[in-house]
Amino acid sequence: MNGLYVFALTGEACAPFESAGHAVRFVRSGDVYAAVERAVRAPPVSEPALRRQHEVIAALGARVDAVLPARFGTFLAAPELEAIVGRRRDVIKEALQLVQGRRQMTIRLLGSELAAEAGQPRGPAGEQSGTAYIEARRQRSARPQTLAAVADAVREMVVAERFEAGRGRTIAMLYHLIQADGVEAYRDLLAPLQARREQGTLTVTGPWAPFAFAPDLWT
Amino acid sequence: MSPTERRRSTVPPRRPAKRQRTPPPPKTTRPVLARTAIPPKTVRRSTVARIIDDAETSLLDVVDNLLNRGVVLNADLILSLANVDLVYVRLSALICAADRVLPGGRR
Repeated sequence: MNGLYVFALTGEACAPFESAGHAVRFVRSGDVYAAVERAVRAPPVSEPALRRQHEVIAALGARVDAVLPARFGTFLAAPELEAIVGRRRDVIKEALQLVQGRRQMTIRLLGSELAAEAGQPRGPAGEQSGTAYIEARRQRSARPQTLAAVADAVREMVVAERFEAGRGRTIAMLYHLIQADGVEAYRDLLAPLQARREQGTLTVTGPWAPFAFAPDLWT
Repeated sequence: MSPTERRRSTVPPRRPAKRQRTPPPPKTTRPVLARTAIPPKTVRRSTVARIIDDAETSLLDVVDNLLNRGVVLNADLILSLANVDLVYVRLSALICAADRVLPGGRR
């Protein structure tokens, strides 16, 4: 089936361009645009495919001011895209306004697997009951102190924030939406906290397109 | 022009032959290229730096950015009977951890 592989929704269009082997063009749906490529199917999930899509979204971010990245694998027929955008138009427009001129910063609190498991209650034989597992998951969803300190340190700069409990070595993640021109100042504010390693290692990456702040088109 | 005149008029015949022999292309060009091009060590170092440097796009960030909220899988299903296509079903499935997509999972 011929269709549109959707990279992102944007608030404006620019001239069609090529990036990472993809021919990106814009499809208009009212006052929302979709950055798409005409394709027969979505690319299979692989590291090169992920990197290429990431590159396309970075290239989009350099060309248009408000970008809402779509999920990997979003492949639709043109009428479907129109219908989905139409159904969620208000949410999309609100999100486009939120991310305009802004970038996402990603903060990860990393620890060891052992530290992550230490907090999980176990039975006498070392086994973990279902209740204990769920309880551990609930406790893990609480925000660690280090990330609370991070949020305090950059409170003035942060327009929107999203917290997620981690898995494995990643204890938790914090996503911040900040002004595009504030990245250096943001990093400077967090540098002292990165040096302290009380609860784990703190990494700050970005600026990225606002992946964590794009609304869900499907639910 | 006679053959003898031609010989006289030309530069001694051995010279061009020697010139052709003296610069054997593979031996002379390879070392020069190796000196002028970036040594392989430098290339490898910059690649490593690109992977571990926070400011660059690490695989962790790529995966996190693109897959954290799930991935859309598409499938086409055609039900046929006696080689006659009867029903076409197009499936789009969102595969995602529950706490990444449900409203309760967001804070």
